[in-house]
Amino acid sequence: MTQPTEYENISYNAPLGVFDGSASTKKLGFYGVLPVTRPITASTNDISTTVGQSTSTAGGATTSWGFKSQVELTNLITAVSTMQLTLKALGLMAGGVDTVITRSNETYELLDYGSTDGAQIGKISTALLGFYGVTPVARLVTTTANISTTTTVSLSTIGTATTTWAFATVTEVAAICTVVSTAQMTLKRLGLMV
Amino acid sequence: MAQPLENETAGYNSSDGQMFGNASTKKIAFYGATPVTRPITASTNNVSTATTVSVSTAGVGLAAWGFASQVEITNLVTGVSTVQKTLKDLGLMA
Repeated sequence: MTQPTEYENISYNAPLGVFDGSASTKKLGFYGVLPVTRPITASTNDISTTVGQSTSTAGGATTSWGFKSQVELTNLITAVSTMQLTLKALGLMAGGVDTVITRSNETYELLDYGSTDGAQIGKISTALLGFYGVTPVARLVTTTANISTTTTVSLSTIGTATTTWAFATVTEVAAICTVVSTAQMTLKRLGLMV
Repeated sequence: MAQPLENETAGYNSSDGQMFGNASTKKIAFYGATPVTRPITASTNNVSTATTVSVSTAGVGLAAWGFASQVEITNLVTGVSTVQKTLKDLGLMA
């Protein structure tokens, strides 16, 4: 029997959507990392209550743009580090612990059959998905501008303030806040973060 | 045969968990995007070593709060763009 050549789709197309892991204490993993319970259990403050709008009213420094209060800056950094650690722990970003898989530790279930073309979870953007037992949702429709066209070069031309390092324009500050709030809302809705 | 009305759960409830793709070179996608291998293979510096404590000692600018060093702001921008690219490539963000 020949192997199917199309992407495999992990669901039977139930109208109410699919979720992986029926509770936050269930374990999930991607790309070969050992499955974990929801990595971060502490909820983070929302950077913005809606995507596309920053709650931060950038300061009016003469040489750089930053944040008006320490709370706003702390919220932003906490949100970014939480998303970063979440994606690393789940295996969606590099930098977590990639355990060598052997027959002896492969006690968890593997949810794809190893098609060389890959596996899809949800066939279209309006499909409903959820993780760790949250109610499945469709993908957020908000499109964000790229902060950087590559991951290693910053679009930001860093300001040269004498006492603090910040951003050169208010546009850069707004872009960072929009991306963080969108990513944060995405991961929260999917149940990957709380 | 009637279609089940509840959410479907992928997995048979193994206590050791569920995994998608058994290596970083396997391809995965969400919401109909074309499956990709792990989008970013280089590890990024942690913006913070803990999620509730910031490594940034915010400066005491008169008009704005910023960062105490260029390294901190570079780590933040790299972290955000990496998260953004990862979520877009996987189809989790538009």
